[in-house]
Amino acid sequence: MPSPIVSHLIGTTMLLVIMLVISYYFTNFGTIMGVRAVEKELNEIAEYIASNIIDMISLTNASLSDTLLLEIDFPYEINGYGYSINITKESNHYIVITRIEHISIVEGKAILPFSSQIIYSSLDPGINGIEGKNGLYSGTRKALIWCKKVGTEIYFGFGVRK
Amino acid sequence: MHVLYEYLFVCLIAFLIINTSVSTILPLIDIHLSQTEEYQLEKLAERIFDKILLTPGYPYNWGEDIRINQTLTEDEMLQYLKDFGLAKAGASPYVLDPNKVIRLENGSGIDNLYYIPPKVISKLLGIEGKYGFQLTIIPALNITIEVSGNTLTVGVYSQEKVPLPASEVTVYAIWVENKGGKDVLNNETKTAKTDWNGKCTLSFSANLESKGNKEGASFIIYVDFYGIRTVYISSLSQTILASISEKYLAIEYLEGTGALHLESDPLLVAFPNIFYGEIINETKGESTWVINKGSKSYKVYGLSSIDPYTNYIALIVKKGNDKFLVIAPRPSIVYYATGPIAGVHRVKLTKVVTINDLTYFIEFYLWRMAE
Repeated sequence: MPSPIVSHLIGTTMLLVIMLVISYYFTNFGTIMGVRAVEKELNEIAEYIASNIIDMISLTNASLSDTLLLEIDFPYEINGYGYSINITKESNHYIVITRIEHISIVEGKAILPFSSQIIYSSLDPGINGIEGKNGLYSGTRKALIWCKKVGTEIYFGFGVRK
Repeated sequence: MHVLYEYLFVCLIAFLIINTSVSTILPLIDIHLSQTEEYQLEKLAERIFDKILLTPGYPYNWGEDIRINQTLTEDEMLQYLKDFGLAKAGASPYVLDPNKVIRLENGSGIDNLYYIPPKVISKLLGIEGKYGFQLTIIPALNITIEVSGNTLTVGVYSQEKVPLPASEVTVYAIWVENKGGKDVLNNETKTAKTDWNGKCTLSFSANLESKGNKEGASFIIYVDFYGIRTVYISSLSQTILASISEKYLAIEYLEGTGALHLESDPLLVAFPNIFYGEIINETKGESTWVINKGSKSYKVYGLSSIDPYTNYIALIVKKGNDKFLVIAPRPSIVYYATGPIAGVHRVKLTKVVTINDLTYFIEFYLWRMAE
């Protein structure tokens, strides 16, 4: 058997190692859970934006009016971070992407279930009092979704009220 | 005890405490995240359901485009059908186009020549491989009939079997009668209101009960319960379910030998109106009025035209001495799915829609292919 001093040394070192491993594990666990929670919130915002876009497109289809506007309200921040809202195209379908770019990139996604004749436009819609935006950022005031029927096509996009 | 063993024991206890705490906390956090995921599935389902019911798709009249048919592959269909939606172009919200709805119907016993497989629709909605869906369209009212002598008792119920009193019932009875050696299609119309029990009895001039196989007595029943409307067709003889695509009627042969003879011009039921249609001879050298056995198990007839508001097409055919009712609903009960409902979490949404002025319940299920 080793002397009591050596035994204490080995024991203390083992306890310290275990403490370090546990701290590392919990930090990682916390980060992963935090990212997952933020991802869920980003998904929720993306779903909210996508649902509003579909409602707008359905209304534009049924409405006699060629142009429709909807003011949208979304959280100022998520866990202290700002985020962006964009629309991209993935295999012929538009997707609403909400994104935080800080320690790592965390994204939320929501699919828009249409495939043609409905077109996203990042350009200015040419509607009085509205400035077209290519995507939105958290904290944007008077943000809105616009929808415009031109012939058989429906254009939609983001904007802000001037 | 030696001091080393004490340390080892302390380490073991510490490890066990931490392990137990983690395994207790983890599911609690996970439940919260799973609930959020479920909520997000509901939002997606609502979005897809709205898209299907409130937009007409593209081209706007894709239901009438007979270029989209079973001879094409799924990718070829996508060249003609660019966007999916069942709404009738230019109509009020939740009014569906019957020509689009019948493209989803493939359960009438005959292959719908213009059926569009669910995989094509999944591709158009952008959910292929990720989510599964099921769409069911059923008439809003459940109707039963009982024939006794010259009376017909009609029962009107909701789909939950609740009797519906004060429903307005109109019955159009048809049967074949031999007059001077010639078969003539006879008809009689009666109306009544259901009592507290959801039932009403209508008396006819002829003994309907005796007009079974020989005369092919059949009933077209229209029910209006405070604006909720359903048409129900029933026959005392055997009924043949036909399918209708655009202006083409596909009738399946009956078991056994002998040709079927068309006994009448088709009746186009667009309640409250009933019109006589006309079958035009598009067959090659075959008699229009005899359904011959060919290489297929059904025969396709072309109609000269179909009123766009037609709910049902009904006609009587004869085999030997027996008469049969042929019914082609526009649409029938629709069951359209990518596969059997699966997944731990699934979302069910229900809406009431109108097709050709008749009321239908539409159910939509959505689930994740992988959890």
